[in-house]
Amino acid sequence: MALLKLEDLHVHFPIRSGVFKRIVGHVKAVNGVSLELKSGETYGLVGESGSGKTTTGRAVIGLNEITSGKVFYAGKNLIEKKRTKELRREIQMIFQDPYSSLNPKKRVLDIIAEPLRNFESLTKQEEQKRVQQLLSQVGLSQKSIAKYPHEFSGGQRQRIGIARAIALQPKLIIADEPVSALDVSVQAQVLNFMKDLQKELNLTYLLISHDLGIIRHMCDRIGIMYKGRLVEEATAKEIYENPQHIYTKRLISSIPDIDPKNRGKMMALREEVKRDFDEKYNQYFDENGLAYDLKAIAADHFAALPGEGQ
Amino acid sequence: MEHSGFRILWREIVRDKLALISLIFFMMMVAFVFGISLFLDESEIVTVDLFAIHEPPSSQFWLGTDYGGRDVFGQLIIGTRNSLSIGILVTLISGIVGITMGVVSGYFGGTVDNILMRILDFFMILPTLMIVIVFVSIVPNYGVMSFSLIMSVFLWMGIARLIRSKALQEKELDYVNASKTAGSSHLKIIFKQVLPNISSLIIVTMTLNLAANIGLESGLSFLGFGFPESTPSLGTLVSYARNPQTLEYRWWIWLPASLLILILMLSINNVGQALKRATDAKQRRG
Repeated sequence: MALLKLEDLHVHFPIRSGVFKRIVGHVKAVNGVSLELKSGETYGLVGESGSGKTTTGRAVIGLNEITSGKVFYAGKNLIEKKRTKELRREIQMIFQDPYSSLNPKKRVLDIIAEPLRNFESLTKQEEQKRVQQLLSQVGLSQKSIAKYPHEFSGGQRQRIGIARAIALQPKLIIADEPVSALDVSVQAQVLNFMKDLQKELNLTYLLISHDLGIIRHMCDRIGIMYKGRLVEEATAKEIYENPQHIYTKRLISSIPDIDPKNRGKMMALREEVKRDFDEKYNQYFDENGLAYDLKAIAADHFAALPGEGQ
Repeated sequence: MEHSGFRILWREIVRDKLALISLIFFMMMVAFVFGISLFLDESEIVTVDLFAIHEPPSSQFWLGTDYGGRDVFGQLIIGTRNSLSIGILVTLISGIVGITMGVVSGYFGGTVDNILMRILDFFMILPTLMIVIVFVSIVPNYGVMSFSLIMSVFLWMGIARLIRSKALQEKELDYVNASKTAGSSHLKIIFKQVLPNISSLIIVTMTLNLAANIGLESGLSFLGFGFPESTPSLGTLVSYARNPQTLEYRWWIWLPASLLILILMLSINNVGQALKRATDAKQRRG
């Protein structure tokens, strides 16, 4: 059974204007997204800025209100029932910005122990022990416990954020661009560490990113989002080798090739894909510019192709 | 700002000699006034003594006597204590109300913010002076506490607005979201996460407010709406100067009190300005 299942998720933000702040329209940040996460896998949500990938993640954890649709976590509907304590502790989040996501006035001990204090009644010694254990798990020294966030580098800060996220032994972690604020050299370090942790704790990741390299490195399955809707969903291999939707094709063609010999070829390819995209745009998107519903192409490959088939 | 906010504030005061001297002076003044007033008999000081009217300063009456033969030095000490108490109480009460309203309003935003800000607007348009004067005339015997309370009703709005704007900024930061996903309640987030991040702003505002609030009572007493003569304060002493005879020939009654008000307000203001500089890295001297 799927660990997390989204069914026709909508998150709309009202646009207010005028003297009386009347609602004059909606920004449909997430406009009918359905997806499934199996236990233990890493699902990558990719898309350009404003495609609704972050909003989807935040809606799952409850930071954004869901307009309509269903979110099932381990078979339980998260919307109908109030999120119980048990459910809350099983879904945690890693934030994008390691600078603003740690309270500058709090010591590392207080930051990592915050979820523990809310969900478990530990004595001071037990709490300290748990935090030290978590710190060694994320590869930080025991001395860090009494330090303040500004004494750490970006990568170390992100590890503190990860330690906080895994403190309650969650099953699902929503990682919202976990490394986009870090140097490339540190990115790999944090990502590999997240992978190790996944094996160790049997975590399921919902990885949100715009970086196709990271997604390819990390994910088992990938969903491509565009204008609040999924345009294609498949295994990582399928997406990179056999993209079906023109938007996916264009996205994949934009990955730079490291070999300068291919420069001309890549440029020609990109030109071609762009032409294709401009020509067939109306064919692939309906009159409102939205992607069609996903259709099964293969066993594990879905794409939002127009009605008449491929 | 970083965790060492308090240390930065302290360092700025130490680097600014004037602020340091002002702080030491103010602390000593507070200790002195509250200490001495313990040994003074207030009822004896305010008792009229017809045989000692308008005495100039002497070894018996260090600062002479007023038109009721009351010792001015004793009145000065007790008056300073009363004025300081009012200043501190008003700052604390209006500060606590203002901070709570501001931080709740800013943190929740939306409808809560709208309602609280309209309540605030209502208090802003009240004619403060008129209501205080009416209050003073209808309440038969009021003292330091009731005076502080009525003044606080009209003084919490400024700090509430300031704190609200800062809280609006803070709540957008991810650490607030992180606390939410960690299962902390709104109350916990407001007071344990957001409030420490605006603490330096609170300290600066409260200090500058204190300087203003010490002069508050004096102003009203001078206009004749402050304390009665049976409750000495800096304001009642200064208001004796409304009599031209006293103003011209009996300086010892009003001059010490006037100077004390000036010095107290100045010294607190010096400290406040140093603290204010400390919150802006570009202006720091330390």
